[in-house]
Amino acid sequence: MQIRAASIGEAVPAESFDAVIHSAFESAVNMRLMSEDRLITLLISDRYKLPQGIHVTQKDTPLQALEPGRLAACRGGILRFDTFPLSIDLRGAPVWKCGVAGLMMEMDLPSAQQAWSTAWDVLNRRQRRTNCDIIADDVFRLQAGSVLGQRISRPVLQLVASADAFDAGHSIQAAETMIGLGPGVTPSGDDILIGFLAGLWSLSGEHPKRHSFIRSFGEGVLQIAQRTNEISRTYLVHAARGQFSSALSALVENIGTGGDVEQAAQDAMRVGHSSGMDTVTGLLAGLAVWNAPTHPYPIHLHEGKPNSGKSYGHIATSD
Amino acid sequence: MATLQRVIKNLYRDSVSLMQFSEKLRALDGIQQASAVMATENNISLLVEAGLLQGAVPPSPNDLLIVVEGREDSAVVTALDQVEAMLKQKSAEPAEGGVRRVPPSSIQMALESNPAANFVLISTPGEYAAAEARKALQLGLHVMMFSDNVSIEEEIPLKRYACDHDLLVMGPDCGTAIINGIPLGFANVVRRGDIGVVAASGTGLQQVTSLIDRLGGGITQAIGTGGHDLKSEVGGITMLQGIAALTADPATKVILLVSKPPSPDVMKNVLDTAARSGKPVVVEFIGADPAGITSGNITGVKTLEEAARASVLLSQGKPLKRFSKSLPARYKSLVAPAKKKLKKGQQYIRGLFSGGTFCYETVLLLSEALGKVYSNTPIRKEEKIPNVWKSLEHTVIDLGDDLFTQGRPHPMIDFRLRNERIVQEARDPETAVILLDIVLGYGSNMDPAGELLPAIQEARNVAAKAKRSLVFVGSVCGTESDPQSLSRQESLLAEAGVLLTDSNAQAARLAAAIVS
Repeated sequence: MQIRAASIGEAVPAESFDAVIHSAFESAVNMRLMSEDRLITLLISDRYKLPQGIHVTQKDTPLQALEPGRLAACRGGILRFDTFPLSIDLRGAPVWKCGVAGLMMEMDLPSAQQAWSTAWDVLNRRQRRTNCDIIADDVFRLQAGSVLGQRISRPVLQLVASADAFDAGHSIQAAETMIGLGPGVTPSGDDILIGFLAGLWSLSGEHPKRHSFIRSFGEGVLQIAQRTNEISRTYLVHAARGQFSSALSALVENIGTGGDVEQAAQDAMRVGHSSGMDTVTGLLAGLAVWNAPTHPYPIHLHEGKPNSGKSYGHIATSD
Repeated sequence: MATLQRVIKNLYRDSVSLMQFSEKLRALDGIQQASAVMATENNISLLVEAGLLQGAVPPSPNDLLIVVEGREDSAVVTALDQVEAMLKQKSAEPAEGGVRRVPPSSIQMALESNPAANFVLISTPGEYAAAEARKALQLGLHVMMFSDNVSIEEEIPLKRYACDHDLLVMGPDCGTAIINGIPLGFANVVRRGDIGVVAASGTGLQQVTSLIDRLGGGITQAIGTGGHDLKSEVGGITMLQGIAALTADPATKVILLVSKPPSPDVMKNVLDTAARSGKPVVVEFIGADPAGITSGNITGVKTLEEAARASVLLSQGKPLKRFSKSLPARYKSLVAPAKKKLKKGQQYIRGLFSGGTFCYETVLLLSEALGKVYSNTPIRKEEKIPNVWKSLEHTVIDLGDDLFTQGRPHPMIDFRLRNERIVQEARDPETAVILLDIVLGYGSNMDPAGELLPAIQEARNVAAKAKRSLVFVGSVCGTESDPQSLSRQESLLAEAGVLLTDSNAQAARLAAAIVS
C-alpha cells in the first residue's frame, strides 16, 4: 500500500532518515529518529497537523499494525517500514508551518478580548460537562475540587504572575511542579504548559523583553522536560520553539482576528480525553499575560467578585 | 485494605484508553480506587499525597504506573493482572470477533476484501508488472499499468488476452487516465462532460483534458494506452478498444485521440475505426499533417490546444473554425517589451520541460518558426543534441527522459535538476528566453511555482550580474480544482515576471516571437 502524505510538519526531516517505531495508536504512530533522539508522528487526519507530523488522510492506513520496535526508513522522500507493505510518499507534500510565533497578537483590542471571553466560556462549559479534573474557572479562583485541580491551581497562578513580571526563574519553578502531572500520555500539567507557551509566543510580537523572557522560560522548560514521558516531551520541545498543533494555532488566530472562536475552541478541545481542554486552559492563561484587562482573574476582580490573600506579582489569590 | 502498584515499561496508550482502563478497574469486585498514569515525579507525588501510594516509587516517566486499592491482596493482584493483560493486548486484534484484518498483499486478497472492484492499478518494478497484470486479467479485472520497463513482447499477449476477454489494458507506462471521474496517476481534476479521450501520451492527455475544462467542456473518460500501443507490433489494440468503448458510451458525444503519429498501418486502422464510430472525432497525431487526417466525421488538428478547442466546439454543437497559427493579440502585446530587455547576443530559447509531449510539441512549433532546434527528442536526427547537459543554440530538453530520471524522482515531482539547469542557462550570454512547462494535478509536486521561483530569482540575479535580463515564458497545465490550484500557481509565477500563456503551444509561439 503506497499513499501520499497530505502534508508534513516543518520539523520532519526532508528526505532521508532512519527511525524506530516508538508507540502506535489508532490514528497515530510515533517514531524515534535515530540521528536526533526525538519523535516524529505519522498521523491520519485531514485537518489536524503537528510540527513533527507526517499527515495522511487515508482513513484505512493500517497504523496499528506498526508495532513498537519495528524499523522505519525514509529514502528519497519515501518512508517505508521493515517487513510491512506500507510506504508513504513524502515527496512534494506541502510543508506545514505553525504561524503562532509570528502572529503579533494584540490582546488589548476589544475584539480580541471578546474572543478570549468567548473561548473561556466555551472551555469552562465543556470542562464542566465532561467532568474534567481541571476546570479553568476554578483553577484561577483556587477553588478547584479535584485533587489534581487543587494541585495544579497554585503553580498555574504562579506561572501567570511570574510571566507577567518577566520573572523566568519563578516561571520555571512553577513549571517544575506541573510537569508530568496528571493522567494521560500527555499529562495535564504538560498540556497547560504547552498552551501557556502558545499564548506567550503569539504575544511576543516585536517586544524584545517578551522575546527574551520566552527564550529563557523555553530553555528552562527544555531542561525539565526530561521529567515527563517522551511523547509529551516532544510537544514541550516544540512548544518551547514556538511550534504548536494546527488546532491550537487556529484557535489563537481566531482569537486574534475575531474569527469563529467557538468552532476553533471546540476543535482544539477535541484532542485526546482532556488534553485539548487542558491545552486551551494554558493558552487562555498565556494570552492573559501582559494584558491586564483580559486577565482571567482580574476580569472577575473588575466585575467586583471577591478575592483576597497572597499576591503573586500583581495577581491576587485567595490563599 | 490492600494497595499495590505495578509499573509497565514503555507502554503508551492514549488518554481515553487509560481513563477507560481506570474506570474498568474501579468497577471490578473488591476494588475501591485505581489509577493508571505515567510514572512521572509529579504524578508519584500526587498519588502519595492522595494516600494511594504508600512508599515513594522511583520516577520513570516513560513507564505506566498502575495503582490499585482494594479490600484484599488477592482482589488487587487479580485486578492488576487483568489490566496489564488488557493494556498489552493489541487494540487491533479483537476488532472483529478475534479476527485481525491483515492489509491485502496480493490482487486476489484485495479482491476478496473488495469483491466489487473491477480495476487494478499496477505500479511495481517493470520486471514484476506483466505477471501481476496477467493475474489481474485472469481475475476479470481491467488493468492500468503505471509501470514502465515492460517489454513489447510481454505487452502484446497481455493486450490480446484482454481484448479477447473484453477487458482493457492501459499501459505499460501509462501515467495518466481519468476513469469515471477519478484521476489516476498523474492526472488533473477536470469537470465531467461529454468528451471522451484516448491518448498514448500522458502529458498530452493532461493538456487536452485541462484545456477542455478551462474552455467549459468536460470529460466522460480519458483512457491512456501507453507509449507502445500504436506501434505496428501492438497494432493499437488499446486505442481501438478505447474508441469502441467511447463509441458505445451514450454519454460521450465527441471522441478525441492524441498520440505521436502511429505507424502507417495502425494509423489507417485507427482512422477507419474512428470513421465508423459515427461520432465527431478530433485527432491530434502530434507532428502529422492535419489535412491528411481530416475526412468525414474526423477532424485533424495541429496542436493539443486546437484539439481541446475543436472538441469543445463540437460538443457544444458549434461549427469548427480555422485555428490561427499566429499569436493572439493578448500575447502579441508581450513581445515588444520582452524584446527590449534583451541585449545583443541574447538570441536563443532554452526550453526545459518536465512533460515529454510538451517538449515534443515545442520542438515542432519552434522548428517551424525558427529552423534548427536541438533536443534530446528532436524531429530530425541531425538536431539531436550532442551533449544533453549543455544547450546549443535553440535547445529544448525533456527532463523526464530516462537519462535524467535514473535514481531520482520525475521532474514533475522533483524540481532540483530543472532548477539547476535554469541557473546554468542564465550563465550563458546567448540565452534569451527560458521556456518552461508547469504541470499540476495529482502526482505532481504540490507547489511547482514555489519550487521554481527561487531558481528563477537566482537565474535573474546571475544574468543581472552580467548586466543582462532574461525572459521567462511558460504555461501551466492544470485546473482550478487541482490540489495546487491553477490560479494560485499562475499568480505566483506571474508575480515573478513569468510570461504565461494558456497552452503549451502558445508559450512556444510567444517564445519564438520574442527571439525572432
